Amino acid sequence: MIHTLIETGCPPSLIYIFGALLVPFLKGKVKAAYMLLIPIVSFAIVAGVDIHGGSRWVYSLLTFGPEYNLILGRIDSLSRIFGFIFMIITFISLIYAIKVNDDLQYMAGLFYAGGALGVTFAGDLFSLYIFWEIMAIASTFLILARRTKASQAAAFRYVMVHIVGGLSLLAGIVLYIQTYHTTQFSYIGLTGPASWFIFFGVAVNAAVIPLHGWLKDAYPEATAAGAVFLSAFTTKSAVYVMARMFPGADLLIWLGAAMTALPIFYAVLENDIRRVLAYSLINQVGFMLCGIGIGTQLALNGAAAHAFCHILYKALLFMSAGAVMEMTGKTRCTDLGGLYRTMPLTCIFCIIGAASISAFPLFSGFVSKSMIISAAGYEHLVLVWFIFQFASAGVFHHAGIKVPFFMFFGHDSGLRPKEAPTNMLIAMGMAAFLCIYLAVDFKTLYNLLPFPVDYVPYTSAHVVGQLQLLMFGALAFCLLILSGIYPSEIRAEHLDTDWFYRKGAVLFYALADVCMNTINKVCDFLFANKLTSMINTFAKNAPATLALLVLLPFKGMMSSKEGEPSFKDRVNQAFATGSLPVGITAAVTTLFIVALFILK
Amino acid sequence: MKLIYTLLASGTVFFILCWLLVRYSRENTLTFFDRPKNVKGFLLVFYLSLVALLIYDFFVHKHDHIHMGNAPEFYAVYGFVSCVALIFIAKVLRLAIKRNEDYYEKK
Repeated sequence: MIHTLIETGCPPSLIYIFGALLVPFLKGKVKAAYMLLIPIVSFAIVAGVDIHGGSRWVYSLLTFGPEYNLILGRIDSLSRIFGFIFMIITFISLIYAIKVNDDLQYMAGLFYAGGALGVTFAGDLFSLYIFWEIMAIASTFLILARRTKASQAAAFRYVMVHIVGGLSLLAGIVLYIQTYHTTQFSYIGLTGPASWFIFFGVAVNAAVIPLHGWLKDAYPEATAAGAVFLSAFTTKSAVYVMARMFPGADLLIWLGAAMTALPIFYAVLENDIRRVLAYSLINQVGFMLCGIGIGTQLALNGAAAHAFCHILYKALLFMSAGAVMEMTGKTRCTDLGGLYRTMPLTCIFCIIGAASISAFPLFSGFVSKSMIISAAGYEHLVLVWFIFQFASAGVFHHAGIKVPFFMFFGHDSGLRPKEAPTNMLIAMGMAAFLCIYLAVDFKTLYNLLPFPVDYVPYTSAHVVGQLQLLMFGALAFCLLILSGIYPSEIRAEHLDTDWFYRKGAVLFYALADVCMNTINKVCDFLFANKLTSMINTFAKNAPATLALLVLLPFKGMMSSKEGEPSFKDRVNQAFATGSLPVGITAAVTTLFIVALFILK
Repeated sequence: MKLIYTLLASGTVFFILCWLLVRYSRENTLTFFDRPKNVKGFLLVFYLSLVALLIYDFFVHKHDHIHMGNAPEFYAVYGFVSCVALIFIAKVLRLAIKRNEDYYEKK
């Protein structure tokens, strides 16, 4: 196997995962160079693959029965664009994290990214599931790596939710293989129980409303670098799987539309900057899922392009929030403000990320999100289109203005931290540069998309319309802030769907306690105490009872005299002392033989 | 290959611009928005750009598939109204869902 791997090149997922194992043995600059080499080598391998050349890295799994192969390299136009961005963002995240000096985070990050690449390039359901679970486990360690009590609790809840999702996916896959006798990872569509189980499992990872509670619960508890990794892989690999399995599913249109609109209200109220970003992440994934639900070529192109751009600017925003957290130790709006004075570069990069997520012309969100919104327009989905426009204005409101405003401007918190370390600035700079570059040279991005593109984002009507939407949204922000109507930032917890399992777990525990322990007690009483002794007594007396039954017709012949023990007592006594009269034994035997003869 | 050269060239320009900004910020501390005059100027530019957008809207040829999108100043009105609505709905929502910070874990 090693021989074939060297001959044909190695799947990027395995380069990441086995590459991660060496990390703890290296030190200093060698370690840094080695880690940065992993995404570069993988990128070169994938870039060199002919996307029309069929699947690579196919290993046969079973040598008997139906042919189930593990396919680690289904590289086509859809998986390639996701693979590219996953590798680019690992490179940037590793630069961002290079001074962390925590092997746990490096290894978890590489395993996690490797899992995401494995999911992306998987061609069969088995390898999809394996890499899916690697992602779930590895990402948990990025939350644990914060090493606080809150992060431990959040990581526990996170992994529990993902176990539920993963098991549902597994159940779906097993049912699917049972029904269709194939392990091919391709279009499934929402038909039958197998597809619903798979859909549910993927929807958990895509943070589809109402299954999104884990995201806003866990991401803000991760380490600074961990959140950057987390923001890129779990939800976007789920988006990829949705695009592969359920394109054109109407349900996704409405779930996606709900995801674009509802988290905005929470994001406006939320105090923790990274939680605001978590909510806006759900909002952006909503756009992608809606595009997949619409299912036209333009919409699917839009979903893939938006995932590509989104990973960059969302990582950029998480990086800037992480840099502020590293330098000040704070993440709440109430504690921050006025940091532009001493962290100007972080501030500018954050603004570039904010402008990109808001889809300002000349920033990356504009060239990708427009495709999805236009696709909704072309299909005359009027309500969805209006929700999209509302969500676009809302995104600018909370992620575009609120995040930079409350961190870097707003009230002066008196904090005067130093500018972020150089490696963080370089990582943020690269992401910021790509955000602008993709918007200007959008044809490069469009050439990577799964379908041929005939779409022009920069028409004067579109640019003016978008600018009006955003700038008048900003005017509303301005007027509301100046008039004091804008909801003040307060230290508070805002209830969301994670309430059901965070508070519900207590109720579940009490219920389980009552139900299970009652069943336990009843069983103990019935089976351990009563039934066993009954069986015991029966078994002990069985020969005598049976003999009595057989001899019942002849009871009259052996009637006892006055003063002597009764017939029953005599038989019992005879069995107890082992002194059966030969006559009775012979009679029983004869009768038994006769009975057998008749029955036969 | 052409793509790589373009990326490198424009990337370098971008980083030089960033470096210049920090180089010329006074003693590594920016004070631009500390002066009320600058804030006023900034807001003035902002308001003027809004007016410019409103005027320019009349000279644009529109062909949106959703007819409402072709109405004059539709995006300006919709952007403003939806943001105001967003804030008011959020304020009402807060009444229902706000709990103490230690709601889940008592400290």
